[in-house]
Amino acid sequence: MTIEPIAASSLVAPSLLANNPESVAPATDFGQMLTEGISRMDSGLQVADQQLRAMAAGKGVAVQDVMISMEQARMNLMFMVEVRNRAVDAYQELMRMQL
Amino acid sequence: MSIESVMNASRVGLSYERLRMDAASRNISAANMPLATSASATTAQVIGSADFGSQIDDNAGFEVQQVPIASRAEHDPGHPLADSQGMVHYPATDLVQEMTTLMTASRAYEANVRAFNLLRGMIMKSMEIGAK
Repeated sequence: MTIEPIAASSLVAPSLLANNPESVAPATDFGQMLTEGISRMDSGLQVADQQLRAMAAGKGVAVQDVMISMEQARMNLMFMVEVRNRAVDAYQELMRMQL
Repeated sequence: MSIESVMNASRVGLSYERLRMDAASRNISAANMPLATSASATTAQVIGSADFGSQIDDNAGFEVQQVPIASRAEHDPGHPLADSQGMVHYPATDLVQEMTTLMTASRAYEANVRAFNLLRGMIMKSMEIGAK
């Protein structure tokens, strides 16, 4: 009489067991995602800056559009600063680790 | 609905109310200006190309257009713009309607600003989640 081995595969989703590294690893790495986020925030800042300059030059840009772009840029900047704070916190936590 | 589209809705609402205010101000300012003998009376109206929902989605604009209205005549033979019967023509602007438009537009503008500020406050607050 043979003992049936425990089927561990039923606990894991079949898509994770496939011999395909792309399906397990994320498509982009964290650094690249961070760089993309920073460049998106920077372009938002530049849009706000250009609109502000256009309004100051009297090119008929609506006040509400400028204010909303500036607020969006500010919110993106605050979000980036928060992400940076968490990353630095995690780094410092690792540095304090006793070896 | 993403955050950006909510903000875009507020932005389009603000622009729309500003335009309504511009049109009503123009109509009030032109209410007592005599028309030239050949000109016909017009009123400014904000007209969009599609319904408001698709305007928000497509970011399509609306514009102030001149719509013809009736004119009222006043007997003033000494006026340089008087016609052969001595009548001077003015646009028949409904001042009550224009003042109501001004008031509703300014209130709606405030409501849009408030909606935007509330959304901004929520986003700013959400960044404090888990902050030390």
